[in-house]
Amino acid sequence: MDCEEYRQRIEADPAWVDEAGAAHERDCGACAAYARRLRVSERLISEALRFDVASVRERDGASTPPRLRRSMGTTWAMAASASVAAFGVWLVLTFIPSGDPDRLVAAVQDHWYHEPTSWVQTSAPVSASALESALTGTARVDLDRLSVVSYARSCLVNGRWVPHLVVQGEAGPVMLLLLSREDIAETLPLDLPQEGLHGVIMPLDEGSIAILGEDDESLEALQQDVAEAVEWAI
Amino acid sequence: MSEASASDAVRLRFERLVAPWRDDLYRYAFWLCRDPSLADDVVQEAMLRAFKSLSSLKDQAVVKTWLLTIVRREHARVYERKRLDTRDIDDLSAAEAALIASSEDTDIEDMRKAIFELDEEYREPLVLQVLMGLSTAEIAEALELKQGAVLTRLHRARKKLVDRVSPALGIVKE
Repeated sequence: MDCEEYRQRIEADPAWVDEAGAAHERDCGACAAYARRLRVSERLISEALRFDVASVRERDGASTPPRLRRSMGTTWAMAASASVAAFGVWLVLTFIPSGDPDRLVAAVQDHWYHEPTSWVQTSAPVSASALESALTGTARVDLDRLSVVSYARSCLVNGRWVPHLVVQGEAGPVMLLLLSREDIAETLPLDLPQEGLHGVIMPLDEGSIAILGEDDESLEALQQDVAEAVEWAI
Repeated sequence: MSEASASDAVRLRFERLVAPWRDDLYRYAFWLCRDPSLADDVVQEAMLRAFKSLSSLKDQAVVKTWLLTIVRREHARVYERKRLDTRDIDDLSAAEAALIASSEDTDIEDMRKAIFELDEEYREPLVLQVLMGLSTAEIAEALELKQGAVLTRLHRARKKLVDRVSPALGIVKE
């Protein structure tokens, strides 16, 4: 093995070693030194690639207007929805505001399917800036009255941008949609029996809040906590 | 098994097998498209697809390459749908510039900039190897290339990076 062949091979994979390569490294001081330096740069490449995901998301959220950012997400959400359900139905449920309670329930149920990655049991809270970005202009939330908020995004539901939070309940994750402009006359049942989920959309002042959790989640206590924790900002 | 408990089982399997890869998949998507919001969308859609087709994953040992394939396809779909233009490598976005500057280590800053400046054909196999830990054979399969071509691209990618950051690292170019 000559120097050129050795260096090409080690540049393709600095961890590579075989008998011929090891022999060349022993016999050629220049290549041995080159390999050592390359392994140093490899650590740097690895660190450079493994950036902190939360801080990049946070930075992106802070530097991009939320509505612009969400409109891009909505484009893809639309496309995904076409494979889940009839595109037209989703379009109506998502983009056209409606005072129809049945359509509101359907839009909230539909939204649960859009963010499966939010549905995780965890003790890790979402960052304060992500929470603030999701809530801006809609609501204030007293975090002392809720358990861990593990997820927060601003999402388009029933034609309106609403904060989508996930809090950690006693039985698992619980989805909260803060529907500040969905004025309903009475509490609406919000069940997804095929997914083992149950919930309600409960009126709160001039708006309402959708709560969806695991079947064995106690809703009464949660409803009370949420009602006390949320205050509309508009 | 009832419908609800079957659904629970799918969700538990998803959380156990797929969720732990979420950050690395985001990083992979980000290095592909160099845009945090787009990477978010790609991963979101990929997770949705993975959730829906989890039953098709028979061999749990290949979950990583299975997910990478989904992300890669989703990334291609995103570009096809949006007909995004290939970006000029000299035109770093605000997000890229922010990521570069997010490290307190100037060597890492230099390296990130150098990685951004790599052509995609060099950047992707490097990311798959270093970040995702794929072998050259696995990269060849994922990218539908011959193994020799993968080795060449990896060799060229590192050579470009070393050339770019060598003064800071004290690597002497010969």
